[in-house]
Amino acid sequence: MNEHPIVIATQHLSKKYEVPVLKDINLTIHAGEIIGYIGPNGAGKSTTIKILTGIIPEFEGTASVLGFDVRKEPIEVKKRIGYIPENAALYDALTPLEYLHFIGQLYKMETSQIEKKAKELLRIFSLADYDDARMTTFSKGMKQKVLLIAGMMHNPSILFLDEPLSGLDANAVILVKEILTQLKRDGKTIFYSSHIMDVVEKISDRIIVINKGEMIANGTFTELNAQSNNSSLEKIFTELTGNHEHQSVAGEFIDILNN
Amino acid sequence: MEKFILTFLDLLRPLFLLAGVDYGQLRSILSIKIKMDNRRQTAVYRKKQNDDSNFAFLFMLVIYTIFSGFIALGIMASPFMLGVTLFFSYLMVMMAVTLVTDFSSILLDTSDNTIILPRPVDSKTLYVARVTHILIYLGQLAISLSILPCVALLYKYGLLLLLPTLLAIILAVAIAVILTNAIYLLIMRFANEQKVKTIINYFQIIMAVVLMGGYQILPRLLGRFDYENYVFEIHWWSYLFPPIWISGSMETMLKLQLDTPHLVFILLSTATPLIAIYATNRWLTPFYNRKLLSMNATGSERNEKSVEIKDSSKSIFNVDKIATWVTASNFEKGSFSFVYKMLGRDHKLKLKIYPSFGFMIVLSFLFIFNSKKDLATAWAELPTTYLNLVLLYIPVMVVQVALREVAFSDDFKASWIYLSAPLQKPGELLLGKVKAVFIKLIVPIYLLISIIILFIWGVSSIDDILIGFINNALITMVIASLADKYLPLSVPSNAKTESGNIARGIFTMFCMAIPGLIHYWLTKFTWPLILVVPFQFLLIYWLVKQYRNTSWMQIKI
Repeated sequence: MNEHPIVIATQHLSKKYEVPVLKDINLTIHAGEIIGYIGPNGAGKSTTIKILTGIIPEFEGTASVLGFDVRKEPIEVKKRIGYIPENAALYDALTPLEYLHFIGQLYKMETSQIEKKAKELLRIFSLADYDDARMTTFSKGMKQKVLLIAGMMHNPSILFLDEPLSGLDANAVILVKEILTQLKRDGKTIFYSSHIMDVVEKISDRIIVINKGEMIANGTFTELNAQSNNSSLEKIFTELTGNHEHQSVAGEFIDILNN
Repeated sequence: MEKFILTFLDLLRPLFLLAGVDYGQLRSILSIKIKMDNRRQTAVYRKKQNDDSNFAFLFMLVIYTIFSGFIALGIMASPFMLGVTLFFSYLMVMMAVTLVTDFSSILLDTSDNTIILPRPVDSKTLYVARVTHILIYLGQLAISLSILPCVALLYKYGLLLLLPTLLAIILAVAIAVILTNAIYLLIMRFANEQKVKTIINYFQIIMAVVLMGGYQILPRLLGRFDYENYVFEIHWWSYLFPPIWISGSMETMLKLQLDTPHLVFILLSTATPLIAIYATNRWLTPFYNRKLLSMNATGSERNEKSVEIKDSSKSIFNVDKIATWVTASNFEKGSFSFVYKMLGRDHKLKLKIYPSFGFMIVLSFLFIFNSKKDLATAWAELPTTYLNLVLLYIPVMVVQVALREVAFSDDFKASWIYLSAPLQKPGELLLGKVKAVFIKLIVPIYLLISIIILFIWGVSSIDDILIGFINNALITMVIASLADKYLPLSVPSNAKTESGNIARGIFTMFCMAIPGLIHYWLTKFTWPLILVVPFQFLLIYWLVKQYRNTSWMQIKI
């Protein structure tokens, strides 16, 4: 039984566009947890995150973050969370300093504080030499680093990360994993969505698997392992999402190559 | 500029606070938006190598102001209704076209949804920021387009016209914006995102041609026009043109004319924007908002639906069939098909190459109507001239631009495939590229020119058309052989060097002139022109052979 307060809760959370993308999702997440949120493409992971961060206001069911109703008080939620989106969406006509300055202002941070933090955080991510260069020339990894800083600069209580390691080099990946572990130690909650199973397996306290909009598993790695008798999260994931045919599909692929 | 606008905005701070807007956040958002406007590539200002300019938008405004100088001269030289109609036509058309070409990227942009929406910015502040940004943009455009004509109007008709002029300008801008917006949303209602982008692309191409062509043609046309004796009459179609409504309304204020036509003009110019706003809000805006939100939520529509490509496998214009006819190896065929398809699909490539077709038309126009004679006489005397030969060689302009531009791409990194392929002679790829440019761009336009020439100069021109066509191929090969050897779409767009442009231009003119002059010289002889064809083919064969043998050492990467 987790004694920490509940910071994210949803009840019967559903969302429909032309077809249903989320069906009856019930989440209870406690402060200080790192949640690995995994699922195949189109499973509804990003939609869940966008609802919990107040980006998508229209949904069915209830959702609250840090005690605030996401539908009714999205601004209070947004003040307290950090969000790093899946695609490197930033205004790349700006320099990293200009961009971070802008983001800091939206969180009403002091100008001097923004300058100081932005410069130091850029230095830690090895971007100090580029802080005044426009981001149009940046690689995907460099942009991802700026996004990570923009999502955390205001020191949020909860972090929503959608594929945060996308494009990062090996050193940056290790650094981010270490940052997340230390943030958890500081009591921050991390909602981590990714396709990279071994990272999810290593850093998550609890793993939630979603498929075709439905939650199909929820537990620690050990619990999921015990249920399915598989040694790795990758295999558990394959079994849960019903993709057992990788071997035969790979064989078919090779056959086509050979013909 | 940014500081000036923000200082002006600070004066309005109490109003924003009164409206319940978070002024600090609003100012930050606008500051960033104005900064980005000035760094955005516009249809008028295209970035060059290492260009970190902060003045792209300002540059566009200056160009617009210079253009409006012609309109100011027109106002000074013509009667009231003609001058004012000319001015409002210019103002409204330019507003509409600029909105479509340069501002559409902002209207369709969903990055705000990812960047600003997750931050603690309330919807009212974000909405007011968007509207204010659009107003700032429109305000700057309207000032640059109307400042000189406005001065001319006040100078000619007196300062009493100041208030009516300002009102009329605001009304003209409002009508242009509202109608453009309504048409824009209407297109979005019935076309998918990809089609909207294609339509915008064609608008951008037209815009580039109009600006460059207008700069050449307008002064010449205006020079031939008898302004002073022109009598402005109201016809039935006058009621279809918004610039005439506004001019009519202004005339009412200036001359206190209150007859039926003028009353109708006043009614049309005030009622149309109101009706358009109502109709837009009622039927189009809700759809637009839903569409943007769904684009944001699902990534993008293009992820969901594949772009419709017409099945042309049975058509004679099927690229793979053409490739089989005109190429000699698999690499050449692959390169041909790839470049041929990209020339028809890549929006940025089209935007860089297709305006040269427009310049071609402008240049033809200048050659034909450059004499002091009036248009009708110049047209009637055409068959007695040798201008048909000039027209036959004008497509070379497109070759020069296309061969250069087809090397550049934002997706240049995809060119790794050339380096990883077991390709001994990259010349095969280059040759495929050149053939694709020639067949996709030159052959159709040459056919069109041939039809025009046959129509004006008669069937006797047929040998000129044949010789000209082979010469066009020859010139294409010469330009390709002497130009830098870049593989198709393999160089970053911002790595262009502008040095050597003048030399290249002179060289192209030279290439056009020499075969053209020889062609002209040969027409003086009585023996059949057709006799030179074997020599032409021999030259082309030799050039193609050399070009196909281009080695990796000669390739610029």
